[in-house]
Amino acid sequence: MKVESAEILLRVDNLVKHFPIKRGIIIQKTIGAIHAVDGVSFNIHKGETLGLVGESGCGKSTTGRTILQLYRPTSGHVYYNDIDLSTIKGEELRKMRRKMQMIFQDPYASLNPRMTIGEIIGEPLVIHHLADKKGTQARVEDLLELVGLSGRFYNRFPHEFSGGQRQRIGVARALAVNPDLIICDEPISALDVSIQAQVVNLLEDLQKEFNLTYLFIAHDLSMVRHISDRVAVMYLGVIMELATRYDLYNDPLHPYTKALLSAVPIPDPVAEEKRHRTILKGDVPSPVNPPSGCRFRTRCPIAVEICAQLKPEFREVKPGHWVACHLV
Amino acid sequence: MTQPVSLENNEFGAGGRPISVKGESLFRDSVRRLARNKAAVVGGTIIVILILVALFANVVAPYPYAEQTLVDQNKLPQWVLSLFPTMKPYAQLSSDYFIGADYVGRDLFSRIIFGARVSLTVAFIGPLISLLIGVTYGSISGYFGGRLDNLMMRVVDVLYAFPSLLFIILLLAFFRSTFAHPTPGTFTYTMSQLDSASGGLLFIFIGIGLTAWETMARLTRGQVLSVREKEFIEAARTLGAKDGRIMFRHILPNVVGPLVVAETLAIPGYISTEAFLSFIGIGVNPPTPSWGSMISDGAQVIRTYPNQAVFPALALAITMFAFNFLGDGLRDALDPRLRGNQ
Repeated sequence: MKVESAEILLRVDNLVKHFPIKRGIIIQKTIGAIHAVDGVSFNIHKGETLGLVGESGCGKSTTGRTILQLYRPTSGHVYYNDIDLSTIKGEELRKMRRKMQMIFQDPYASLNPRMTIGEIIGEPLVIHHLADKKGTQARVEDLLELVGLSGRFYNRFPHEFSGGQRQRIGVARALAVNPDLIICDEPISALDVSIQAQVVNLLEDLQKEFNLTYLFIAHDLSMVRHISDRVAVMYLGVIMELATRYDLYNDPLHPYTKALLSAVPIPDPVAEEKRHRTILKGDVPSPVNPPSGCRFRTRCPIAVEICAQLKPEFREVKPGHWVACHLV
Repeated sequence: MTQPVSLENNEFGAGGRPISVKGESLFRDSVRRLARNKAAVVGGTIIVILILVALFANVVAPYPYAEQTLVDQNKLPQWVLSLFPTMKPYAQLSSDYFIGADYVGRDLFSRIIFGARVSLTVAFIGPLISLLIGVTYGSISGYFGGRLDNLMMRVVDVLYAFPSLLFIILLLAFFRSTFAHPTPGTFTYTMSQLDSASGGLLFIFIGIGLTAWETMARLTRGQVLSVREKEFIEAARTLGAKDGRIMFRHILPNVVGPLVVAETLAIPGYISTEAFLSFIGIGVNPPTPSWGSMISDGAQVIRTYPNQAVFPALALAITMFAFNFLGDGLRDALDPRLRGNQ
């Protein structure tokens, strides 16, 4: 486990991303907004892996993309080594992109089918003028070997590879510019279980070798537990709980985290028999019109009156253990 | 920690097939599948032959297209007579002309050969104009999206509702009017001169160009919109790629397939537009032969000399079929869902 006092690489401060809903053919009116991310704050320390978990549509991916400024935040700040990414743009931002890369969820959609593997992995080098033609090829071949593929694949096309291989190509592309931070946006959820382990192990090996920092977005709790140093749980655009891996899985404080963890099957028939499940009622409310007060109150088994009136503060209840709940 | 397993790395793929080091691009795969489509190959061959014939019309054609031999008017060879026996009572036979001569004694066959020039020029200029304008317009609209997209597409909607044929006719009536006598130096005069210099083709190009790009713009916009949302575009942006690079390296190569298919299938439309304009007498200037004007001339005597209308019509039909077959074949070959089949 990493030391808590390590240098902070990325600081996300009250990040908000709303997507406006427009109506009208020529004159468009904004009639509402999807509150995808609604005030998220956390730090990522250098060299650690922060897991970000939550249900589909809770804003995990949007958080990742807003950090990388693929979406500009509605409000809030993202500090990378004290540089505020949310205020810089143009050439300045383009230069910063070298430091932060992303691995995408769908290995079939994230590689351009018309480009060769060499062109795909070499593209960041070309964009940032990091190597000449010969140097690019040598570097790409090195990267291919690094992610467990053969350098001979240089001239082949994405459609000739399997999902796992493609994901490795995506990893190689992200590594090409020697980034410090990699945002892994559900990098394994589109893969077979057997391939998932390979890719996760690859990510871990690379982290050790290059001292990478990961923001690991996923909805597979056991995989997050395996790879993360700390874990944040998101629900409807808000972080509900943030703690070290050990604390979160052994001593979850937020009722939502408890319910989530109770849904994980235990691979032991005797223990599985005794597993107590907290079944949440209803569906996730619409992010267009999120509930007042605590976002989770409509499905919370222990909700009381104050939950509807006041938004719970995201506070540190134990050292390094943050929770947003009135009742903790 | 276990090392990443690299089972994929061995020399042989599934079923022991050796993995080639050189990959097969989607383009080469498409060409391979196009070559297996018989109709497309036939269509393509016909088009190639037509192009060659049009290019070397001077060599291939037995007579110049404007050479009149008045004593030979409406003469036809024996095999055409047996094809249309109704002409027997009045037909004058002559073996000098392959499919007969027209009402002023010009060789029909030579005129069909020279007529291919007009049709093929239209078949290549039409797509050129519509691709140039349509793809540029559509990709800007689709890529930047939002309000600009909305505005640009409404403009297309308005133009789309415009009766284009009527517009072309108006255009021609205005610029070719014999009453106008435009003074030298004015725009109208220059246009008229250019039109005569191109044998009347200029306004056909303008007419086709003004209307054909709208469909392409819509199609391009739709394609760009769908590709723009793909993850590899986001990946390129994460890498720091600029708009130009994303457009030309990532989006356009991925939308070019459907555009080529649509354009190939639109070519018969351009050819028939030209034929129609020439048929109603506002196309190419005589004596430049065009299949449309030849059908028009032949139609006047279709009861007495059907060969004069049937053969140019046949040439037109074969050409349009050829482009359609090729277009269909391209569509099948470029369809990614069928990749690897056949």
